[in-house]
Amino acid sequence: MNKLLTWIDERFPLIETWKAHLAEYYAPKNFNFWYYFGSLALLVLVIQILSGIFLTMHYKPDASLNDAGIPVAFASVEYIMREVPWGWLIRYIHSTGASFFFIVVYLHMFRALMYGSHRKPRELLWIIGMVIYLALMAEAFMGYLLPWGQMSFWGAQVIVNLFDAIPVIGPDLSVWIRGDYVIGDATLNRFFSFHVILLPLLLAGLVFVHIVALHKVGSNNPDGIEIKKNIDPKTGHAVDGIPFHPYYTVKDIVGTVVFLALFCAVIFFMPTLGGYFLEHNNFVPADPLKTPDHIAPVWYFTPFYSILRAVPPILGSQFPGVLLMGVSVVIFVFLPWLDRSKVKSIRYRGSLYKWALGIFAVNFILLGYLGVKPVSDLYQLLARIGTVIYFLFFILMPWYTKIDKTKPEPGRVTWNH
Amino acid sequence: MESLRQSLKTAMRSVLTALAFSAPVAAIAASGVQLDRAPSLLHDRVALQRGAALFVNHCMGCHGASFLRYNKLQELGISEAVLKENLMFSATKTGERMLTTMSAAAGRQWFGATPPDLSLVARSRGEDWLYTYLRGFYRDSTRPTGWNNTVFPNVGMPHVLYQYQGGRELTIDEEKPVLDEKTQKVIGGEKVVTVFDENGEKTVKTEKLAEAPAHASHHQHFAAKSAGSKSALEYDQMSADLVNFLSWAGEPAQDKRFRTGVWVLGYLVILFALAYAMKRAFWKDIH
Repeated sequence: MNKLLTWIDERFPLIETWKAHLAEYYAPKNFNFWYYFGSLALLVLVIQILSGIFLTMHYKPDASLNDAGIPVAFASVEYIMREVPWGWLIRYIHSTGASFFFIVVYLHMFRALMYGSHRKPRELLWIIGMVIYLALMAEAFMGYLLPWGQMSFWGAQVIVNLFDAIPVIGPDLSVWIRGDYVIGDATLNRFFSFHVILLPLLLAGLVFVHIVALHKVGSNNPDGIEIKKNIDPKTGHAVDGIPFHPYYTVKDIVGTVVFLALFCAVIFFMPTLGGYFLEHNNFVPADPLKTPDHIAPVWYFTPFYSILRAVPPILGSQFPGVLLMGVSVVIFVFLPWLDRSKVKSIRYRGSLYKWALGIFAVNFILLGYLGVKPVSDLYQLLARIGTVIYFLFFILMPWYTKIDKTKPEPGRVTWNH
Repeated sequence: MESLRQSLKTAMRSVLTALAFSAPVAAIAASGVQLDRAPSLLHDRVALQRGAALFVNHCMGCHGASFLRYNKLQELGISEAVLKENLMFSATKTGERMLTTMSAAAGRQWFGATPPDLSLVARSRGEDWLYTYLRGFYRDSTRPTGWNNTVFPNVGMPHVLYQYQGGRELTIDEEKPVLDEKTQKVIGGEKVVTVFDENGEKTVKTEKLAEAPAHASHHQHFAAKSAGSKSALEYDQMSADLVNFLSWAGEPAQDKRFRTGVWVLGYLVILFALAYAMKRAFWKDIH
């Protein structure tokens, strides 16, 4: 065994890699609940890729109708649900995994906002994370077309039509995306290709880069202080750091089991989650001639969808809404520079930031809720107020983080044991 | 033992359903009609078999269930002999899909739209909607088929189970505030009673109310006029059986899914105890 290791190590930096990223990667010892979601996001990515491989073996991206008048793509999903051994399980794992991916990623991002993990020196790490998030949105959006149900079809129709609103190039751009004048077989096949090859490849690469960048700058922690400032002269490692392996591997296993319990509860007992994870209307095959009364994207897109709907058309153009929705996603990238606070962690910030972040989080959920619902006068008003609050959080950030009273940061991480 | 397991399952299921706050399948249909709760009989094999027989006899003339093969019905405890003899009219092999013999074109010509495949109708519409729908037909002489439905207004489908249910009269009571055309202010209230009699003749009576109601209200009720071959209760049970069968057909694996889930979660609970003990053992030396 040892000989084999030496043989490999002479040709590939196996032990060096193991040490650099696990056994001798020193992470702060005071990680709390919020620090599970990074490794969980990686876990969900693996789950999605594995379940996706098996789905791809049976799924057929074909919009033509079978002898019973049902689109082949839609029928192939039901074939997986009914005739492939344990196919229903694989499909529910994949569909539930999509929603859990976003739950985990939203919590992971919220953690960063709480403890200032996006601030210097981790700005690039944050930006890579945001690119991952954008790729994930594209991955989820394209994947949702594949079952070829009514919501798949009309949801894609609505979203691709948004590109139509872009001045000058819009109409050509949307035809280029669809590969047709309407969502059709060409769209289904290219989305399938992107969903199973392009975006997973991109995601895997980006996640790798994300981890490399993290291990270069080191992990932040709930106190928002740099553990590398306190190096033990004897060992040469941070005094508040502990090796990721075995300490955080065994801790993350606990988090993984809890996560899997929640994940499996949904898969086995409520796979549609009352229409939020799998929409009821998506059990109806796509029908280009029958527009549903109410088209809503899946819950993880609805905060941004709310913002889109909240903006009234200007001079008959929907473009301002589309633009604002785009900005609402991309604006996260600028957070490291919008935040002017002397401290990173919410623990040592004043009440202004605590309120701002709290209101932002509640408002985000509210916008998400409104995006699921059909528009009414009251909901439209709420969505508009919500949109203003959403952007105020970012626009006013340089001001309120600067005047916010802060407490002094501790020299060492907080650790009671 | 079996009954204990059953009641445990039922209890767990209701807790989980409550947790899932299944709001979108709200008790109100798009048409604004209050939906009746469909009884859940998924563990009742005999009810499922009755539902299968009803489906084959009364629905498959126009609707297919193309995601089901006939031999899938054997999972409901129907033997191959019974299946071949009593449930397969157009098919010759048990592995064939349950397709309707009516062509899509004929459906369009006769009903204005091709009758949908019903494999997944319980998943898209919900059991309660189907249960209310099957019991919501009324005569309406203005419709091409002579039939209309309270939860699916102007439906293309006639009341195929009429012989069982018999003739009924529908009365709709509506109370609403009356607005002034110019100012849009409430100037009074009115009560509108619409009756569709057993023959589908519609009569509307409007009377002024002394006081304007705060909200518009809508109530409806059916009155039996001529007997069908089943009593009202029997007809409800029949509808429930059919809905129950469609619910099974929507996801035949659902029972297996639930049973597997109990084991999986049990396993994860044990794994959690071990993982937690391991974590504590390792972290002892962190000070």
